[in-house]
Amino acid sequence: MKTNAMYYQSSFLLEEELQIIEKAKLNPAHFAPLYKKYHEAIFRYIIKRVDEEEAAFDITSCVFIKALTNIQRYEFRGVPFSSWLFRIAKSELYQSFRDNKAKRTVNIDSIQVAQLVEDFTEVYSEENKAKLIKALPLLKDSQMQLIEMRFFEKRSFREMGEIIGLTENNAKVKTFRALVKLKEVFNKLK
Amino acid sequence: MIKIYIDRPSLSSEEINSRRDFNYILKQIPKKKIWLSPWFYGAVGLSSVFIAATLILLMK
Repeated sequence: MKTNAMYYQSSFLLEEELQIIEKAKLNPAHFAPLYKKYHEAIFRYIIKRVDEEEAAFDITSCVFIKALTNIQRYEFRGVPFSSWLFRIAKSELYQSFRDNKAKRTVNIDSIQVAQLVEDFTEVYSEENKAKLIKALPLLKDSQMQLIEMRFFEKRSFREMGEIIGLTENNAKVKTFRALVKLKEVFNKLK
Repeated sequence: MIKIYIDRPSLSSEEINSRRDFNYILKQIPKKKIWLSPWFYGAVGLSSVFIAATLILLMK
């Protein structure tokens, strides 16, 4: 499966990011290039999970405010800075769901649904598509998250692990289990 | 229950970028409390020692 290439950066780019972070620790105004670089990616991550655009913009702002407030605590682990931002985004999103400021949604396109249906049945039909759409909300949220990141956002297991706080292998195993569960629910539906 | 949207129209990069406002983000960062900084304790401590030493010397 092709994964999103944005996560993979050369050591030069990682070093460049690290320098910006070190400057931002002394003066938050130096954070601007990272805000510009990741604002859209974080917004798109959030809007795929909430039902309202305004809520998504608000949560995106909260992510960057939190990131800048806690920038002193950031430690470089050899992965792009975005994984830290996505972790904050995930926690801000769930906080918004708890505070009823946003509703959890899943955004997928027909092509992604068709690909998953073909994985399950080898025959794509409108009936199977409808069945899959019915099956998805029956998963636990943690399972849904994994399916969403892997199959709808094409993230690598390494990146998924970084976002949800798992090792790459653990993310792989859990995604496989979530897929098995989805298949099980799919097959049970009539 | 999770709501599923299929083929929901997405915003263009221009629309998203038009809502970028770094100055707003900067304004929202809570100001650091000076008395929580180690520099504050260092400066206060050193000044106290200096004042105490000066007073002792003057009183002799």
